[in-house]
Amino acid sequence: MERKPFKVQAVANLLGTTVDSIRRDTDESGILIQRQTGDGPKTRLFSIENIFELARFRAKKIGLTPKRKVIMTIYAPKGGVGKTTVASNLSTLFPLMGLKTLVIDLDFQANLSMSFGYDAELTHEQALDDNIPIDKCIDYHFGHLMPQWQASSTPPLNDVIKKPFGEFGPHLIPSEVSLDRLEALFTLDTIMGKNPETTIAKFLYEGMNGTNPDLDLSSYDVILFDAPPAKNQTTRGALLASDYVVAPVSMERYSTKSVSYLAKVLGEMESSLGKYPELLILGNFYDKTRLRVAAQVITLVNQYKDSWVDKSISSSEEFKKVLSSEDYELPLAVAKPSSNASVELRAVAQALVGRMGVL
Amino acid sequence: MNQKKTEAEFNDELRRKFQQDMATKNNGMVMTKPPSTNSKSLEALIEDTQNAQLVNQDGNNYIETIAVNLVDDSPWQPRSRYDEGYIQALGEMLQDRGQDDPIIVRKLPTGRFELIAGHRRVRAARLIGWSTIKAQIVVLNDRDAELATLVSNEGRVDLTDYEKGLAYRKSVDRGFAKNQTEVARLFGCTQARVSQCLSLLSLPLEVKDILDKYPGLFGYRYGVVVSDLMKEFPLGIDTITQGIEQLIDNNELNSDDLRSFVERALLNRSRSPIVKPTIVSNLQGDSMFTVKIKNNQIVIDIKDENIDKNVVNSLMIDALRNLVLSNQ
Ligand SMILES: Nc1ncnc2c1ncn2[C@@H]1O[C@H](COP(=O)(O)OP(=O)(O)OP(=O)(O)O)[C@@H](O)[C@H]1O
Ligand SMILES: [Mg+2]
Repeated sequence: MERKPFKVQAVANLLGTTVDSIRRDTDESGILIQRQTGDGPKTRLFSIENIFELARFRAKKIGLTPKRKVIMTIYAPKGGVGKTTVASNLSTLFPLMGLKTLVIDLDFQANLSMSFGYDAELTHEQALDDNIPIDKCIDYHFGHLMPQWQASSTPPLNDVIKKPFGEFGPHLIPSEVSLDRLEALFTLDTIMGKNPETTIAKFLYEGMNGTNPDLDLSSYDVILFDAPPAKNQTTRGALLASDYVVAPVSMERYSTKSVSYLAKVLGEMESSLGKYPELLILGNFYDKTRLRVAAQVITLVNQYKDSWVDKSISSSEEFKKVLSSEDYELPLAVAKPSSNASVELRAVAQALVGRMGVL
Repeated sequence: MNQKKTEAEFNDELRRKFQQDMATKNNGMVMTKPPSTNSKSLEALIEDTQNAQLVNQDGNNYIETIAVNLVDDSPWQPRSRYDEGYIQALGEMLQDRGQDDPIIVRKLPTGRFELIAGHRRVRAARLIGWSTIKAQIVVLNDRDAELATLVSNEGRVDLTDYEKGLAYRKSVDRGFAKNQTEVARLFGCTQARVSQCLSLLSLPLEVKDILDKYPGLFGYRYGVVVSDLMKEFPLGIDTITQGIEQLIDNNELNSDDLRSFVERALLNRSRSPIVKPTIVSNLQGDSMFTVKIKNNQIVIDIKDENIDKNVVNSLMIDALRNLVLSNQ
């Protein structure tokens, strides 16, 4: 599928700067940008890969160095509240801010992987037959990297990680249906008296330290998990490994219960292991004209003052449009940089990065 | 700045508006607060658990090489048949590459070992004549052994839908899970999958007899068609099982083939006695029309040559229009 190219103004929006400095930095970076053909003005046409490369260049130029690395899980025990939407957009926006980002799809339903244009059901044969790049197929998922998987050998990280928008965009560990086996293997471990709960934590700890050269994650500034709504051991494992849990709550429906449940889970982690992620609550499907929504906000803010993120995401039809359009493989934040939803998403990304003390 | 103020004002106003409402709503609703102490670091967590594990090495879990002929099947394992081709391939792989993962067994008081996980590997090892095999020996009581066996088989390999259904039901019968949601959690799959596999268990006994012998004969989708057919032809069980049995020799057949087989057999047979035409006669008793239902058609034969077909036709159309209107 051909992706629509971006004009300078859109790139400026995405990188939060002016058209002039985009032009200047592009020239300086030496990144090769296509020009419009034909008789008209030879406007620059950026590919999505170009934009991420430029973002990285700009970050280097100003000597941007993250103050700390963070691991976060996007999770709420409720379905359809926007976890995957938030995960795909944040993981796309962070690299635009100059942060090296890895996003891990922990849901065997693979919505996140699909939102980046991968097809969990596509076989190699089918891809060959239909002339689809083999890279669109998903051969490995996070489970394959876990010691429990007990395949004859762990696949090299390079074969697992996808780079939907090139080297400088978000990196993705995709998912497909067999990932649900990981949960059964964790259960088995539990029965056998082994403690699987720290498996993911250990994997990330070693990965971020670069102890294991085959599973080196030390180059990433941000690692995000997109968790399924399930209250299972895989999700708990990711939470335990994380510095933050970002919980989208749908302002359209009463979500206080799901936040309360999550807070309880964190409390259990604190008392049993002393390690838990800090809770950040992110309002989604926000609509300030509706009283019911306002009531929800007030309840949540009253109860969870320290966790409330003061930037929310409004209800917007754009999210659904992106899913059904040709731009399917681009998260909304990059598909429609000037839409209101994208402006809000960028504000949320900024707020989170500030709150977590990354920049 | 200005804007912020108005937003704050807006919120304040709402807060006042809702204060009362909230006071009643939150009554009785306990909202747990997240922990507020400082979490330990990832590094500290890993160090602490590693230390704890060192203390925990109590010999309950160890890997040893044991004699293959001392290994017994688990009485709880859900697999009812072993694919010979697969066992053979597995044997070749063991021969080529050696054994990567230990099988899992528990030691019985008799000194023999009972399998938890690795039924197929043990069969493959026997096939290629190995006398010993690498095993992880665990200490488990009956109940945990049963649960571990159920779960590990599901986790490791492709059981058929029917075998999964049996395992799921067993987990409920044995009290490991209370409902489908808990089954799904236990086996690490979706509740939809659980419900699909369980649906095979509500097929008629005659059909389940076939599945007991050939658990891989068909999956839940085909099962749905079988139960649809049972509803449509409550007395057609013999024909339906006949149709299913054809699968045994020809696995190319699918549920459409079953449906058309059953329909061909049962619709033809049942139609002949029923389809008698209705005769419409005049006062003198001469038959003017015969009307007959044929599948989705109503066939009207005009027996009297004097009747104007166009008139009949428009009468029919009027009648049908009235019918349509009255149904709206
Ligand atoms: N702010 C929003 N406005 C409108 N639609 C939204 C918004 N956020 C998410 N959606 C839509 O809601 C649906 C569910 O979102 P999403 O898949 O991100 O939720 P989820 O929490 O990951 O779901 P699941 O629990 O199934 O994993 C999607 O169709 C998405 O496009
Ligand atoms: Mg999701």
